[in-house]
Formats: sequence, structure tokens, C-alpha cells
Amino acid sequence: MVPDVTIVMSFKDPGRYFDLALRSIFAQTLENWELILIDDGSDDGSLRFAQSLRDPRVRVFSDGICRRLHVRRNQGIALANAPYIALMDADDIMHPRRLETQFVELERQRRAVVLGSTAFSIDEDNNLLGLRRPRARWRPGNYECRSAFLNPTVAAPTSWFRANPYSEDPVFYRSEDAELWCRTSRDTDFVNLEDPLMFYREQRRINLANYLGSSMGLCVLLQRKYAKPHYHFVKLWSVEIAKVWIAITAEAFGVSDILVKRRSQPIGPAARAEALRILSQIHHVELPLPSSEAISTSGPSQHLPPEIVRP
Amino acid sequence: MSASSPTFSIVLPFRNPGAYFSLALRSVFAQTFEDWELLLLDDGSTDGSLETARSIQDSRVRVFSDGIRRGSGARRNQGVRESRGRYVALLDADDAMTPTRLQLQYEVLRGCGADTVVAGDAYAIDAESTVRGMRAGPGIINPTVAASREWFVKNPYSEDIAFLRAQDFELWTRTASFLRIIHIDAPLIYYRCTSEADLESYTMSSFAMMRVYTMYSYGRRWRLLSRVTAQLVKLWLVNLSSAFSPAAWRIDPHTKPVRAGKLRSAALSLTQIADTPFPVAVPSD
Repeated sequence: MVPDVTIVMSFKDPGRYFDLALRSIFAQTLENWELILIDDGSDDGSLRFAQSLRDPRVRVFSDGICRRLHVRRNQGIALANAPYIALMDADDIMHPRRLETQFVELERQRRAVVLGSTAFSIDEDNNLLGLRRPRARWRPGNYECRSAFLNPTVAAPTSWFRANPYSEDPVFYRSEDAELWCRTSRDTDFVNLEDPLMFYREQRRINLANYLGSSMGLCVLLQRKYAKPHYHFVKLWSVEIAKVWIAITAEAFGVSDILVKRRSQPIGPAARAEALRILSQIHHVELPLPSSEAISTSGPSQHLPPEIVRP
Repeated sequence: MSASSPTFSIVLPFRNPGAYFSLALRSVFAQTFEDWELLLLDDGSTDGSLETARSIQDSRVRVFSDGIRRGSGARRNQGVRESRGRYVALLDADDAMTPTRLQLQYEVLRGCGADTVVAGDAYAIDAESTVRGMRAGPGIINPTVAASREWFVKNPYSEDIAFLRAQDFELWTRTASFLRIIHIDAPLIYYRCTSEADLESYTMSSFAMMRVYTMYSYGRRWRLLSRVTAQLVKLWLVNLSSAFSPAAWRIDPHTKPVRAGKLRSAALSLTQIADTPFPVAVPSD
């Protein structure tokens, strides 16, 4: 049977977050999904954990090396069997109705759209921080499109992803989504749902390695699109550089948590209670694992088909 | 000294070096010191340079290729692993060695322990391979470096994708506290300093360098901030000035002028390198 939605998830040392991410998939109300798990050179045992899942809907791929998210996502997109793809990161948690809501909405739309949503933000210990929204105001083709979505909330037709692959230019190794949205916003409709369909992980403090990686990609994106003697470029460029300075300074003084907190909006007590209820519900979902003594024999894992393993 | 374990292993990674490649290769065959092996490490080239590399008919030359782009740091590590020489000499595909480079470094290295790194100066050459002046820095000019194989095995380049550029800066910063370095006050290579406004490479290097500052600041936050601030101000200015006038930022503050006589002899020596043949397979009809 052809699945309705393929979940594409690449993982590199997700550690303790991996378990809840997987549980949230098995908690979905839409059950006709396919999960493509692509290992990106993990060495924290998560590959073995993925391989031990006993469910025909799960496919695990591994080649032992680290190729980064943009390459892995393209591989997952190539392997998908469903008409729609939902992106997912190994440290995030899906709302149980995520796939159902997005599948219904994508089927309802008569054109190809990229569909995202708002998300609850959670900290490293799964405490609720608030609500995150994608950028509300941007114009097609504009640099602001880079944050048109909260990236792991995105779902879109498989054919769209295949026609618009991620750039595998290594400069975008941490800003692959920003580059994709900026490239496609003129020709594609971007839609965001108001319902929070994900629990989005925020580190307590800024991780400078990641921050510098994504800023580098954004700066190059800006250069490629706008490097002209124009007030607009001066403004965008200055803001980008200033943000890097602020992030490094804040982290050097140990106060970068202030910047992280600013990203989320507070939520009311009713919404909070509901979110906590859902989280605990996901906690109690059982994963299809074999009995403990059988775990040592690692389960099925596939090598990537040669045509997928592109240089 | 047998052919299987030469004195020097020259580790040369390449990714689409284009027309510069043959000068680099010729400069190896022009060395006065002949006990070397050459390791050519392809990093996903698509410009025919891999075919050039494979066409060389010399038992001292070995070519490695897997078609993937992994960065020159990863390739240099691979070269070190594959090397059989007592010493490793680095070279980049767009540079060229002066004919006495290996000789000079051998004289120094053979009197030192395995923990010593030997670097030197360079002639700056432009895209047309015209000698522009001299370079003594800033910092260590990576392709002038030679050291014992052991040293490179102990201190590999970072293979993190963040250091696709400036992976040398990362290595020299990481090893700075214990690095024993001898600097030869003579040009060891012709160093390509092109005037093309390659802003993207500059941006990538800047971010890689800031990453290095944040990794190795060890809590000295004012030092970290002053370096990061300087780097960001430079990056900001370079991009704005290049947007407004593309020629403005091409001034190269690190290249120092040299006497006309020295310039002439450097240029002459470079012509001789360019005329040095390297043994290629003759295509059979």
C-alpha cells in the first residue's frame, strides 16, 4: 500500500531526544505513514536504536559518514514513496495530529503548496517555553523569505521537493532551508497553519558553532542576491553582521539565553495545560522494540542505493 | 633511501585547479632534491585535472580519488595516511615550489627532532603567474610547511565542514601552545594571490576564523571579543566597499615589494619551472 505521507528524518547523535521524536511519530492519528531514517554518521548508539524498531513502515539507511542535513534530506526525498513529504528533525516532537492535519490541508489545496505551522517551543528538559511563529511579513523573492517557516514543521508534495532540491553547496550546510525558501518563494505558495503542530527544541543558550555556520550561509546568500551599491544591501548586510557580533558577545558573557527566550511568545494557561497533556500522552506511546535480550542483534539496515549516494 | 620510503612525501590536494595545476606539478619535477614521492588527492574535481593527474607516468606519483568533495583538510589527512616518506611537505594545486624548496627544508629538518615544523616565505604571484612581491605572513603560510610524517599524524587537520576554508588557521591555532617552528627566511613557494574579488571565499574564511576564535579563546573573553569585532568590521567593510566599487578591496596588505633584481631572478626561475616537462603517457593511436 502506498503511504499517505513520508517522514524524512536524518539524525546525527540525537542522544536522549531521539526516543521522544520517534514516539511522537508512533503517536500520529494518521497511521498510513512511512518513516525514512537516514543516519548521518552517528556514534552515540542511535543508529542501533533506529535499527531495532520493528515496524514495516520504518526504513533505516546508513553509510557511516557525515554528509550533513542538506545532502541527507535530498536522499530521503529521493527514497520517498508517498505523495507528500513531512520534514522532521531528530530532536523535535510532532503533535499527534500533525500528519493528519497537514495531509488533509495538502489534499484540499488544488495547487502545490509548501505547508508549515506554528510550534510550541520546548527546552532541553521538555519544559514548555512558549509559542514560536514563522516570520509573518515577507514578499516573494525577498530575503525575508529565509524565515518563512519553522523548518521542521514543513510538509509539501514529494514532486515539489524533487523539482526543488536542497542546494548541496557546503556553504549552506547550516542554512539549507533559508536558501531553499529564498530560491522558491516566487514560484511557490507558502502557507502556514495557525495550529502549533510541533514541539520545537530550543537549546538554552546559543550554540556558536551552529550559529556561525548558519550565519555564514546567510551572508553568502545575501551576497549572491543583493551585493549592489544600494541602501537595501547596506541595511541587510549591516544587520546580519551586527547579529553575529551580538550573538558572540552575549555567549561570551553567558547571557545568550536572553536572545533565545526572545524567540518565543508566552502562551495562556489553557494552551499550556493542553500542550503538557499532549506531551505526556506522547511519553506513554510504546515503540515497537523487541524484547530486551533481542536488542543486541542489530536489526535491518539498508545501504543507500548507489544512485542516491551522489558525490 | 629506497623508492618505497622516500625522504619527502609531497601532499597535494586538488579541486578544479584548472590551468594552475600543471605549474604546481612541474615545480615538483623541477626540484633539485629528487628523493620524493608525490601524492595527488582529488577532492571531487570536474575540470579534467584528475585526468591530468592520472596521465603522469612516474612511479613516484600516486593519485587518489573517490569523486566526493570533503575539503582540503580531510584530503591532506588522507595524504598523510597514505604517505611513506620520512617527512611530509604540503603544497596547494594553485601554487608552485621554488626549485630548492625541498633541499632547503631537508637541511633544516634533518637536524631537528620529530616535533619541529619548518615553514618559510613565499613569492606572491597573480593569476597570470607574474611575480608581484614577497609574503612572509600573516601567520604560517600553509603550503610552505614541512614536518615529520609523525607530526602530521599526531596533529591532523579538522575535517569539520565549518573549516572548508581556513582549516590551516584552525590547525596552527590548535597547536600554537606547543608548536616548535623554524622559519626559513627564503621564499619556498610561489603563492597564488589572485586579485579576483572572491567575496564568498573571504566570507567563508572569516566565519571559519571566528569559529576558531570561539573554540580556542579558553575563557579570555575580551581577547575573543576584540578579535571577533575586528574580523566582523573587516568583513562588513570589505563587502560594502566591493558592492560600491569592486576594485577597492583588492589591495593586498600582506605582499611586500622586492628589489627589481630579485624580482627578475624569481620570474626567470618560474619560467624555467614552466618549461620543466613532466612524464605523461603518450596516447597511442
